[in-house]
Amino acid sequence: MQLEPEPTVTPITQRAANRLHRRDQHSVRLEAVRKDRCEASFRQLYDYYAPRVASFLRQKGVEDRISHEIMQETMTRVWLKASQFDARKASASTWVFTIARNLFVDYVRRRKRAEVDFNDPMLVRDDVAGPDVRLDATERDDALKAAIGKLPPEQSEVLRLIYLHGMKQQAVAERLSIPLNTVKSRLRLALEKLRRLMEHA
Amino acid sequence: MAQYHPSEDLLAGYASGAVDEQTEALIAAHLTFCPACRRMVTEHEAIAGALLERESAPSASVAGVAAILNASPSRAPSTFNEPPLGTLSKIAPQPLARYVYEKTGEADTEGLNWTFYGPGIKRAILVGDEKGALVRLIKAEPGAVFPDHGHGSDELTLVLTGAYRDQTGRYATGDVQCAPAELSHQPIVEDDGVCFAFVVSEKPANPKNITAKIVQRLIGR
Repeated sequence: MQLEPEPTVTPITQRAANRLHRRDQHSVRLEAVRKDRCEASFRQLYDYYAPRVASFLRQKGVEDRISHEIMQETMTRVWLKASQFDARKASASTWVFTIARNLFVDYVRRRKRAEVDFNDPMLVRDDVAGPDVRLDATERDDALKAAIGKLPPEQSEVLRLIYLHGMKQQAVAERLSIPLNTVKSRLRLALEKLRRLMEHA
Repeated sequence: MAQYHPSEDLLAGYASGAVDEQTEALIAAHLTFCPACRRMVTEHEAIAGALLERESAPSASVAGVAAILNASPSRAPSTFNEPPLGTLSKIAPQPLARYVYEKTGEADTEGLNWTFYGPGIKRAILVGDEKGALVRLIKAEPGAVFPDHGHGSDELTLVLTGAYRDQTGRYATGDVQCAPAELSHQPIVEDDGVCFAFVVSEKPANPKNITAKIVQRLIGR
């Protein structure tokens, strides 16, 4: 009697499976919306992101009514444009952030945000890291989240004001009543630490 | 491959949507030429995304999600009309060509309002006026020498075609020169091609002193 050979798993698919397994729950839900238009998953995404996006906009100084509108449009795009989500390029949170940011800029300027056009004949392609060498984006973002959680609160606060709320370093110094140089050094320390922790993830 | 890049602060500002529109257009154009800076921006966006998860979150409204799920599927998100882009898109990446088009209504390089700036050098002012140009395109013939000038404020120059040199280095397509307010320089365009550049400053560039101003006028007339 002949035994069936063990099914072989190539290292690549094994790695892909691990990645899928390790993906954060929001990215998994967004994947379900993308593939199956799963309403239950979208409801969960809405419950999670809608209040966060609204809070993010309010802290940028957008009045309540408008921030609600931009938030609602952000979530509408998540629902309608889920097909554009690519978990290899960005985690769900990063993708939602970029949609909200672009709508915010469009709203403030009343024109489209300037972004790279990937069909531009002038585009210089990135030949350093193909999809296989690059760390999967959701993996990287998970490591990043964990790393931010380990920062001292005074460093993560500076990151939050600069990255999420788009404040200039000088404005951060005024808001926190600390010297500009302290803002710079907290930012530098935080970024160094994040890069180190992500490399070891 | 670009050798000179915008500062990390500027890239972070771009990622968080905090820079003004002319700087945004300049950075998006540089990113078109520079994969390394694109990776940096992606990293900054990932930091912002991770921070978004840490925002405080009261509960979401039930009506809000229902409104989205019950909307008719034909409702497409609003899109902006893409302008028809002419010869401008031969010298400028799309986001910059679009910016120029939005400011001037011109899609062709030839249609811009070019004015004399020095021998072999013309400029088209997009924001500001002759006395205080804040945003402009520069077109310099091969071998052209700029008037020696100071800045009075920080200035960003993105080279689109050709190349120029000054005491700080050689700047070619895709490079961004970040000239601090205190820099005084006299860029010289290389011999082998027309140099188009996009320049953004916070305040108008000042000719170095009154003598330079007079010399500039004499040359000009």
